[in-house]
Amino acid sequence: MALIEVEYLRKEFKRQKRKDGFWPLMKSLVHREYEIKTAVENISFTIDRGEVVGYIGPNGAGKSTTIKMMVGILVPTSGIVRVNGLVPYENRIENARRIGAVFGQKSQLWWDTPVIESLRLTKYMYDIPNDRYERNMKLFNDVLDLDEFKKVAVRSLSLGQRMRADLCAALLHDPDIVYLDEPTIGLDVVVKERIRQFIREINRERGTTVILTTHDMADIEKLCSRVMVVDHGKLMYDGNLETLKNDFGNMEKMEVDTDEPFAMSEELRRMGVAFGLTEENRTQLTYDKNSINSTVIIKWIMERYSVRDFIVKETEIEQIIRDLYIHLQQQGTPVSAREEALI
Amino acid sequence: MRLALYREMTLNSLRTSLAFRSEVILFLFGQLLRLFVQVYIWRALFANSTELSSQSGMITLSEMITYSVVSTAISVFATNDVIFRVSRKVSSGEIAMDLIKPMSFRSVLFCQTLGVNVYRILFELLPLMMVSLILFGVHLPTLANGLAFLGLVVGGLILNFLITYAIGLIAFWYILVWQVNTVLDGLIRLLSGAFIPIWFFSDTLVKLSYFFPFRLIYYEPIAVFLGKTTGWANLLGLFAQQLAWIVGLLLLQRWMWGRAVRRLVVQGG
Ligand SMILES: Nc1ncnc2c1ncn2[C@@H]1O[C@H](COP(=O)(O)OP(=O)(O)OP(=O)(O)O)[C@@H](O)[C@H]1O
Ligand SMILES: [Mg+2]
Repeated sequence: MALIEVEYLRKEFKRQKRKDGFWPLMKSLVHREYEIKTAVENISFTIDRGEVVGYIGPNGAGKSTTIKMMVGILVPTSGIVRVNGLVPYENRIENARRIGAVFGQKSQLWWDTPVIESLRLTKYMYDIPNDRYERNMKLFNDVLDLDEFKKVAVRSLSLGQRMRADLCAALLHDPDIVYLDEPTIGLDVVVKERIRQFIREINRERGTTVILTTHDMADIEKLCSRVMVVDHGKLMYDGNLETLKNDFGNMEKMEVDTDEPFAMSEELRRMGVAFGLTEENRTQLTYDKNSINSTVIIKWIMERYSVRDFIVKETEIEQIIRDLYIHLQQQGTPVSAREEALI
Repeated sequence: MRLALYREMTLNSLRTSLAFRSEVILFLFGQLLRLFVQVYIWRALFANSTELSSQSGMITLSEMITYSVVSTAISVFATNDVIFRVSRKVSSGEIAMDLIKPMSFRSVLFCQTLGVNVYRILFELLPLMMVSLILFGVHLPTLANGLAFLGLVVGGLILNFLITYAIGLIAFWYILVWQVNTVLDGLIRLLSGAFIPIWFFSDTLVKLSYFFPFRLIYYEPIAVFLGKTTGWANLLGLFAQQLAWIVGLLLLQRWMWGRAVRRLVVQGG
């Protein structure tokens, strides 16, 4: 049986309509008008034990809303969420015992309490046996490097320090599942890397299932075996990273350094090559690698110019996702209908 | 039972209060000033008479002074910021962080409030009482009444927490909790007997006070302290009333909570 089962999950928010002008405002005091915003629309998926799933999508796509329903702090409008066989919002405390969660924008630690005290409270909160607590603390301390700030009150921690402390708190009790909503938001490269390493280790050594949302595609590339893409509350893609790359990462980029300036050529264009940024003697070319081979292009160029250097770049995951999002916008709802644009 | 957890949560809240130690001297000064004002008002009201007649027989000036002192003592820990805490957590979405923990939201708040109360007893109540005992003569109760008084105060404390928590839960529906709080303050001030003992109330007001639990927080415990209420039957009656209100409020909260959670929208993220 799958660890997490989500079926036709839907969440609607009622939003009060804001009125401009005096009379409409007065009227709204008596009779409130609401508009319904569907944040999550008929999403279904299952997640097995030990998977690391990247849950991505543009801003306002419905990622956090889905996570909140899986954690049990938001009640779905309709549809089913089952985690470990339990319905999270009906068995909130029972479910909370077995999961860990980090919401990048909020801390679950006690604001006015030193980090180490906060973590000690976590021990009582989840009834963690002494030896397990000690063992985990030692391990996490090494990876997350908590020592330098463990006596500091949470409220005075820097963002990256707080995130490390929060991750530690979320994992001390060896949860089956950990939900990470933007765990790397606003962190420097070193801390980001450390956190990724930590998540990888936890998943590998304890088989912890990880569900993670992020806007940093490096997180996805380095951690996730599976990606789910949502947009406008709908699940648009669900599959492994390789397939996604093959389906959307077919554009390749080539940079060529030539002795003389490169002139645009109709012939190349007809072969399906597009010209990118050109500065002095360096030229960028992009093309669909499924329809034309890079050796054909370079051969064509070498016959006409003396080539000093050239590099072929595979499309970065960042670009793939960008293409995917743009593709979704064109195929899905038109951009002007998006709520975000109206506010 | 998860006593170790509750103990640790309470201690943590106490430690936080200690770290932020507010100005004890200033607090003491303010409370004493208020007491002086009350004592002088009562002196003026008593004028030349030594006793005033009331709903529970003759009351002497020194009994009234004791009443004021004890009432101030109760108010030190019967004021909490639970309403404010709940509404802030709901409107900011911070409540999500409490809900992902395997513990009831009410217990979290109760432990936090208890920790603050312990702090206030140690650093506000004790100094205040020592100074009051020296400045104003205070009647001491008999052993039986003293013990009953302590029991009633604890019950009153729980009652007070539950009332404020129930009102705090309104924040799930309306964010206008401050206005509700002002109404509540007025009601408590009037109907609890915190300032004017219920024995000086008119008949209608006395009847009205029975419809609210507030008298069980201030007036009744103080009356026990002063020996106006005696006898097992009467004392047990008071405890029974407290218990009934507590059970009623717990039921009300369970009902409210079930509804509140369904309509909770966790903001942000
Ligand atoms: N409490 C709420 N009331 C009304 N609308 C809401 C509420 N919470 C979220 N929404 C709306 O639901 C949609 C999805 O929001 P959600 O927070 O799930 O997005 P997200 O995918 O996490 O975006 P981001 O990447 O920006 O964090 C948004 O359009 C948002 O405006
Ligand atoms: Mg989000």
